[in-house]
Amino acid sequence: MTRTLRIVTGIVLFVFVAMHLLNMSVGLVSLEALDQARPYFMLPWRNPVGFIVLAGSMLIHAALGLVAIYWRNTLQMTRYDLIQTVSALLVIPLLASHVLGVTLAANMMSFEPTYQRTLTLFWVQSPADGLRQVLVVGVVWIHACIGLFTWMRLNTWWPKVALVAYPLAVIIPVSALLGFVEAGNQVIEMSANATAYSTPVSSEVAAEQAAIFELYNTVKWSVISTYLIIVAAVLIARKIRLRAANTGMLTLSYLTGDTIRTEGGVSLLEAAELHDLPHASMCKGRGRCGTCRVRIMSSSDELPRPSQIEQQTLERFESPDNVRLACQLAPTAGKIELERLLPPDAGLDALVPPSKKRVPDLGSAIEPAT
Amino acid sequence: MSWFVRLSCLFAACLICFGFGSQYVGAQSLPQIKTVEQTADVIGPPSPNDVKELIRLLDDKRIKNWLEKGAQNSEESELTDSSAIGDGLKAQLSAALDRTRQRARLLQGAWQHISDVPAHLAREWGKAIKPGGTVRSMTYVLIFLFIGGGLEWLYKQYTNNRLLRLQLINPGSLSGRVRAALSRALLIFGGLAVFTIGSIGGFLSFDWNPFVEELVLILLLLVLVLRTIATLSMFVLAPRVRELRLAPFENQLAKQFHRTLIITLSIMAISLAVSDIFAELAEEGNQQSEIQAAAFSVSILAGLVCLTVALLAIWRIAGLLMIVSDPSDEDGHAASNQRVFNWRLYLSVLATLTFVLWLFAATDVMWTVLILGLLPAVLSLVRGWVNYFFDESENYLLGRNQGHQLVAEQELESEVTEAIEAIEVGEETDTIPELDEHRPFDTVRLVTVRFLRFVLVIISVLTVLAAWATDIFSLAESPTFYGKVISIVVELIVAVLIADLIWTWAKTSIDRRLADYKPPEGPQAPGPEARMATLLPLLRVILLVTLVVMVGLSVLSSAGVNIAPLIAGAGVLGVAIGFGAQSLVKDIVSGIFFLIDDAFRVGEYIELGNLRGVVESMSVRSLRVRHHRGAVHTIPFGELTSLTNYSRDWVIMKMEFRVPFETDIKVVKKLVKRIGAEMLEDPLYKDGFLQPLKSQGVRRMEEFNMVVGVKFMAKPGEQWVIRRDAYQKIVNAFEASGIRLAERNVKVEVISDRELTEDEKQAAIGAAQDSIEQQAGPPHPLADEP
Repeated sequence: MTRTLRIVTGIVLFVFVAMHLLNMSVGLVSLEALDQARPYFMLPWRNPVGFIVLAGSMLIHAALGLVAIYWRNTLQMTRYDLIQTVSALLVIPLLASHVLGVTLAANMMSFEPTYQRTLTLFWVQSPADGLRQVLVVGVVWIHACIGLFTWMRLNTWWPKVALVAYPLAVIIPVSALLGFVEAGNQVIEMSANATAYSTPVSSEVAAEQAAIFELYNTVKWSVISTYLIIVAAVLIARKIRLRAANTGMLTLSYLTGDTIRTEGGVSLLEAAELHDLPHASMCKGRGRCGTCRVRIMSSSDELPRPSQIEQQTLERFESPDNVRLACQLAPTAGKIELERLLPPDAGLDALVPPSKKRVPDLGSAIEPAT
Repeated sequence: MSWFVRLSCLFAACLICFGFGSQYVGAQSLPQIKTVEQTADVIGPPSPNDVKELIRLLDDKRIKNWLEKGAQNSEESELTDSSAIGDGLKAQLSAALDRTRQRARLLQGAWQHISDVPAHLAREWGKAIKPGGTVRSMTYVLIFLFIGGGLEWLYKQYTNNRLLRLQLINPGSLSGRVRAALSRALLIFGGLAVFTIGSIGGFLSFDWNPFVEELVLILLLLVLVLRTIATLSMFVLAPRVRELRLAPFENQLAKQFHRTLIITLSIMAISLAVSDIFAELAEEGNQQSEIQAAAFSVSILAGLVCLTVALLAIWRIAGLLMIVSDPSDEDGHAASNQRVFNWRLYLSVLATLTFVLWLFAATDVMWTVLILGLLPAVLSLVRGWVNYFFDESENYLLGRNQGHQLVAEQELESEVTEAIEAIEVGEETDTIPELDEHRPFDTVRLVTVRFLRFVLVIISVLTVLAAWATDIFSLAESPTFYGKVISIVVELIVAVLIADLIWTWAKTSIDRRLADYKPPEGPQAPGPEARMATLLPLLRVILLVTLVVMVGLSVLSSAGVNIAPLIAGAGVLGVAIGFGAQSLVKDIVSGIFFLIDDAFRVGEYIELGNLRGVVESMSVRSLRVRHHRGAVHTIPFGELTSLTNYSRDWVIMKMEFRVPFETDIKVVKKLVKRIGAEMLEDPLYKDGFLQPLKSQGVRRMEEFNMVVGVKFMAKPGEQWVIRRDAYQKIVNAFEASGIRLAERNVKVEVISDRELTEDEKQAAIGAAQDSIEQQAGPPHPLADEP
């Protein structure tokens, strides 16, 4: 349920971001084209239903992320997880001002947030906001791509999609950023040529604008600070939860001869990756792919029962009882002797239960550690 | 050995620090020169009309002639200048002193205005960049980095799997390691290249205002440099995968090493980039002395930061190395620590000296000190590294051999438990055979070290020269004193190093072959290696002399000495000696060919024309053969035309027995066969036989008897004893079975029908006496046999 919800909301957000970025890449043509294209790209999101879906997805996705952080046993994590978590935490503070600005401007000032206006803000009036905007594009896109790719990789249609998906994942943000620069250069030129570009406003209007700006600032900072407080609360709650479940030292002895001593509470997969022991894991520890299966030869302490997710995946592979998923099994203490069942470079065919047919291998999911 | 490699890695780290740092430091010293160029720039470019006019004038013949004349004149004046070496040296010295003095003044100025520096810089910055420009240029940098990063990610998606497989296989052998390292480097640096292309390409596709362009470019370059360093360090140290590491560290140490290196170099690169940016700014701000001074103080600050960080890194890395030194052997531990300590001190002094020299603008001296100071460090680093690499591969080879042996032993043991008879065999094989003392890569290792040393020395000499003169190649061409000296020195070094390389290679391979040669023990005849062993030292001396002569000649020729007469003289002498020593040379050369043909060996029985005997010894020129009766013949190889060797592979010996006509051949055959079987059983002869004794039946008929042939095949040298005993045994056997050997007899037939009296018989015999003696004839000479 949670997984499905996370993926669905993630895909909604991804589609929005991708469309927005595609719109931005029209900037490579010209500034006017950018604004002309805007209604078409924003069409699904400007109506109430689209808006609610979008806003709802965002809230749900963020909440799910915070819940996941709460349930993490350790903050030591693999590189991918680290990138995912940090980028997720950064998105809201970085994006708040842009989203609020555009929404407020559209709804309260009857002031259409055209690209021309926004880009003038980003390139001329407040370049720091422009920098932040580029940063947020990178952060959001990386987060989105990691999430989406780890999900897509587990599907049988992936090899066909991958041929298009990999290049697209680069082309979309790159062309958007280049469009941003190109349109920005036009804006800079325009503002330099016409100092009287901004039409003089009456003092009343100016006062109103200042008030709205004030409001905008207040809302923005309150949103950001609320968010930070929530994150802090989640972290503290997690700490309390961990204090309750006291952990000891965990010793893992692999059949290959490697031995790992680590703090209890990490999953076996995290322990292996943190100690540079290559381990197959295509879904990056989401319990979906089953490539991280290990056989437990012996264990000094009682191991936690498999969760529902783990149970399902293990049943799919018709595994015996002593086989577990390394990504889901997080013992708190004790000594475990175990064996990795799949080679670290396991390909897509490792996903298919033995009864079904083979699928060609196209790229492994794990990063080489050098 | 390990302390050595660790030390070497320390030097590598420092080398990178310095090499990189000094590049920027070098750039820092440029502003003064650039300011001079600036004044020329102020005049501005010529108008198109001027250019046209110039081209028209240049096409004019008169102008051409005049220009050529001028050029000739100036060349002549240069020649006269070069004669006054002393003046030039003095002028150069005073110029250097002037430069230093100026620099000291600048330093003083910088020190006095140190408090104003931020204000000056901020003002100039504001002038150079429109408001918001700074942040905007950071935005640009971010975008370009994002583009580069995106492309690299795409590249990685397609190469990751290959990289992963590379690190999963464990290539043990030397060639496997090298291949794995190369393909890994290709993949990793391919990613870096894609990143570079992406970011720089994005940058190039837009137009920029000059200072912003400079700024963005510097920032981009900074990131690229940092990434290159990180990738290099990653490649060599491989902090997470032991199998890929090219340095002898454990995981923990490699990680710390990697981190120290990255942090140090990042700080250095950032500080130098900052100082570079301000230098650019100073260039923008038209020659204002405050800005100059401010930029200068920033660069000094950057230099200080670099020095501090470099010193810290040296001490930190040395500390790391001291901690990990092997505690198992106390003496080695102390000695290794002492060495690390010495090198640390040396490198710290070197770094400080470099900084001071840079501070006083003595760039030439700084480069010389730096490069010559680093050379020993780099050399020992390279040596240690090569040794480590070969050691690893050798250990792998030995380990693999031992592994095979272990497997074999285990198999044997399992057999032993099954069959009791096999116990003895098992015990026999249980003794571990001697490991080959010889290391498989000795020659390659030495030659590799020499070759790398050769390359490094050449590179450092060229760099030092480049630091002293802008264009050493033209200087070396020029007929000045310095040019001459430089070309002589360079040629000398190159010639000596090449000769050294060849000599090392030849010497090690010759020595190895000599060491491989073991003189035969006991009566066994030595093989062709024996003569190789006499020839190789000779070859070595010849090679040495040739190399020395060639190096000497090339040095003389580069020094301008005309070596043609020398060569001609040597040629005349050579011809004279050649005529005189013609036969000697012929002997030696044909000796070499006899050796290659493997025509004879010491101890073999040979026949040369009408001489026979056992080869006793060989010299370079002649062969000594001892006749079986004791006479010793000495024959020069040149005299040998054909040669018969009686001691090769096998000999067939034939024997004949004369028996009366009435003898039963079947019985003879049976007897011979039985004796043959007996002799094959006899331990005395059985090793000598190749084919047993066998009868060939009747070979021919003679007047009074028939001849029965018997033959056998034996190993050379064994046939005499076998023949002797075979004769004896056969005769005995014949006697025992009543076969009489035919004897010469004369039948005297007297035609008469009555019995002869004794007297008559005697008379008849007497009459036949003549014919008896006649038929017997004079005895034949015996065959020559030992």
